[in-house]
Amino acid sequence: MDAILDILNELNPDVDYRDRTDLVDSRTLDSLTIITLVSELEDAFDITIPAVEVVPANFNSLEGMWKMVERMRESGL
Amino acid sequence: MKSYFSLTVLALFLPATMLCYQLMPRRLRWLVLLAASYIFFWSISGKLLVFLLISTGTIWLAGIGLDRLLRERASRLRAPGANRRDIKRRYARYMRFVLAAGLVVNLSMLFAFKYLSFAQRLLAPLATPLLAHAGITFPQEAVALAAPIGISFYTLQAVSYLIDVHRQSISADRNPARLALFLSFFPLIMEGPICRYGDTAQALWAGRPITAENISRGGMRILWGLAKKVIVADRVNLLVKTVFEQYGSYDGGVIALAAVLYTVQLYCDFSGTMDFVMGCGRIFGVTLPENFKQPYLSRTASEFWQRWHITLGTWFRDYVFYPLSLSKPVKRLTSAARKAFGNRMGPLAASGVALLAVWLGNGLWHGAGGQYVLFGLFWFVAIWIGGLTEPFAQALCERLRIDRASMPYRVLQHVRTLAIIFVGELIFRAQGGSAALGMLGKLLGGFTLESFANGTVLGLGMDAADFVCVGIAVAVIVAVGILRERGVSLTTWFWSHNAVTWSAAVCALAIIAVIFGAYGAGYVPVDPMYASF
Amino acid sequence: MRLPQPLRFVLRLCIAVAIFLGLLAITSRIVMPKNNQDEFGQMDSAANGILGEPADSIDVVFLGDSESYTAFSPLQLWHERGITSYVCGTAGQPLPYTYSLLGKALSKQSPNVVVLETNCLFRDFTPGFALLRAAQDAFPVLEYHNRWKSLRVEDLTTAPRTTWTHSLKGFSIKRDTVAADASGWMAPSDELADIPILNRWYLEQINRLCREHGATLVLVSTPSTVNWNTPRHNRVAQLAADLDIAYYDLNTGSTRVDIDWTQDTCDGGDHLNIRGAQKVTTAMGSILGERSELTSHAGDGAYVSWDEAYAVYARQLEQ
Repeated sequence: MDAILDILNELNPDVDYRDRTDLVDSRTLDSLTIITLVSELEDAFDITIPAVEVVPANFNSLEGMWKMVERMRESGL
Repeated sequence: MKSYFSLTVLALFLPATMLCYQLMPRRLRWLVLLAASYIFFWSISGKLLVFLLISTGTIWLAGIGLDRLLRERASRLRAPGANRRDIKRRYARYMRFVLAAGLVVNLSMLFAFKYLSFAQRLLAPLATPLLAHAGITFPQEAVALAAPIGISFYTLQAVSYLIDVHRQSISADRNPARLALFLSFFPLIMEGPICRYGDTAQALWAGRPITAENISRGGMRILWGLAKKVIVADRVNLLVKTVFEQYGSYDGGVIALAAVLYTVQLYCDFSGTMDFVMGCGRIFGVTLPENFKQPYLSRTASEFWQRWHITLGTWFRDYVFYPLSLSKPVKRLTSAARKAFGNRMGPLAASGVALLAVWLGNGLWHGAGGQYVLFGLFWFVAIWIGGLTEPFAQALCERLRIDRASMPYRVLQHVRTLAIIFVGELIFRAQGGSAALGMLGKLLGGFTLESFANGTVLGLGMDAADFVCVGIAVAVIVAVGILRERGVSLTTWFWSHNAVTWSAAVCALAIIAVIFGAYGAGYVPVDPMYASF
Repeated sequence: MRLPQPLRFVLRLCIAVAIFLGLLAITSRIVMPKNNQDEFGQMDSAANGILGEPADSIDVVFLGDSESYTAFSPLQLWHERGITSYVCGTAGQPLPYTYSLLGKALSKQSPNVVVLETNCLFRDFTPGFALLRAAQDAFPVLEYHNRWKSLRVEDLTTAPRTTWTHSLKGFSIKRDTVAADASGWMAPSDELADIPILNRWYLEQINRLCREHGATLVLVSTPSTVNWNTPRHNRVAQLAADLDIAYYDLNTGSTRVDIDWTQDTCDGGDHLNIRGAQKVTTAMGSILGERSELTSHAGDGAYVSWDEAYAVYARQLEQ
């Protein structure tokens, strides 16, 4: 999860991502940022994230992102 | 019925529907809504109802088909000795085929009704000589088909339903009548919002009883929307029409005024209609998504589209932007761009492709004309450049020690964004692509305050009293908006107080609308802009 | 004592409605024109001029759209037949408005005959418009709300009066001549033109209102190549028979008026000009003269103002 936090901090250092559960709903992460984030996550964890996974539930919090990354790793596409 | 704010709807149709709804047993209330919606549709578009039925039927069938394929796939996968990869790939192909079939049927109906004559006009210079060689004459006269009401809205809802079933975010609806209600619900049919099946459908069938609180809060909201439309939108209409239809006769200052007033008109008309829609939703116990969240408080171009016509923006984001930017070819482009421009610039630059598709789509969705393409391109540039220059702006402000959270900076952002908005709406309202460019030219090249100084602006359809009225109304609307931004709901506040306060508020609002409304002799009724989609 | 929720809500609603109606009445009183003239903000002042006529002095009231005020000249009718009349016609008059104007006229006048020009029977209007018109009659603020821009102190202090009347009694002189294409006009046909149910209902209400005030309703179709045709004639003839109303079609049959379509129309057959109007008014005069309800007031001292008005009219015609 720290790796994800690093990526996020690099994208926008002004935000504290740790205890938030509303990153998408509060528009802290907008669609362009999410695309960049997806690209970075795919590179960092060697996974493929399909469009169907880009939903608020998966990106609203660090936990959501981490769970999604694990799921993608498991399904080993 | 050309608008929801007609006496026929407010005094006859809506109360009758509410009465029948409440009298029905809970399980059957959704049928009342369905019947009312179809009657409403019929009264506007008559026999074109058949196209709504075709859309509903094909989408329902496709949904069922996808559902069946999914179940077949599941059972095949469970069978012993199954070749998992092979089965998955085969069924993915079948499902894509069913999805494509459903989308093609519905989108081509939309294309035929909305874009045929535009495409014809565009292709004519090329196609006529080419086809002439083959002995075929390309039709010169524009083929304009009267479109069924709401086709742009219900088609998008149908597409979103089918894609969501394909993505397995929702399961298909076995009941065609219930799906029909989702696609035809009368408050949504004229101007949206564009709803998601997963969020809205359940509530439509729940048959929640109409409560006193819901009538009061919903009714108050409808009244507020009526006031906005009738006092502001209808009042500025004549001036806006006059200037936009004959822009050549007016200087840059007048054109700027018309752009500003048109934006005000569009906001009051469209959000006023949304107030009616939300009020209706509340009355029938259905929570509909907001389409407006104080868009005049936006600080950036991209924030504006998260506050204006929100459901259209999210539709394009979820069904065009993400699928495109996460598709294989664009992902490859993104990787290449990341290597060339770095980890931040790269993806931004590459997602420009998807963003362009979104904005061309958004522009064209609004209408088949050059000005709509320009409109889309304008916002694409504004948002994309905004995104690309953001890191530079950040660095520059740090270097110059400008505090981006300070009041002066934020005011600057507000003003800049408002300017972008006004220019965008100028393009939108122009009577065609060349008119849009012409008006922009006059605005930027020939801007002068002369018409304000010599009083010309008071003779275009609004007199001094009208301007004062609009000014005060806009101030009130913004004040209410700021309250909403802070989470204060006035409808709740008034409902929670005693009967006299509530009654006084409702009466005050109603009598103000009666006196200051721009209706009757001397006013030109507004063609509901979004209802021709 | 806390009332149950639904009851509390009904109470709120009643209070709100009561306050609202009260406010409508007060604001109506304020914005209503304080006299029935243009200068006071009166709409359709020509038609509303009938309210300025002395009570019970009008024998015939003409109603209808622009066909009526371009074709019927009350002062000519006075001169030829000694019958007093007034044209309460307005542009594009829809039947709910006809009903309203008739009601206003009957509040001060007791005509023997009410003539309705039939073009407005075929004019569409929505139920919403009919509702709005009824609401405007009850609360004039819905019609005159725009006067907020021109309110004066006297709007708060004085009561509305009606002292003005139109110099030509609601008639409008059209002097232009634009020839009409009369080919195909009143071509024979067995069809019946469609008439919306709501229009038929309003016709019945107008008929009833006339009867209640002791007036006889009469239907008349003025000559027009643009607006009138045989299917419409057939429909109105049928309606008139159903409702037992006399119907005179000046386009055809025994009541046909000999219109010269190259000289007598001001806009290519849509409306008559002054020459056409003179022919139609003379024809109306003989139709009305045959009816038992009307008697001539010529020479009656009480109607001297009509002689004076006619003198002014005659001078206007000579110009």
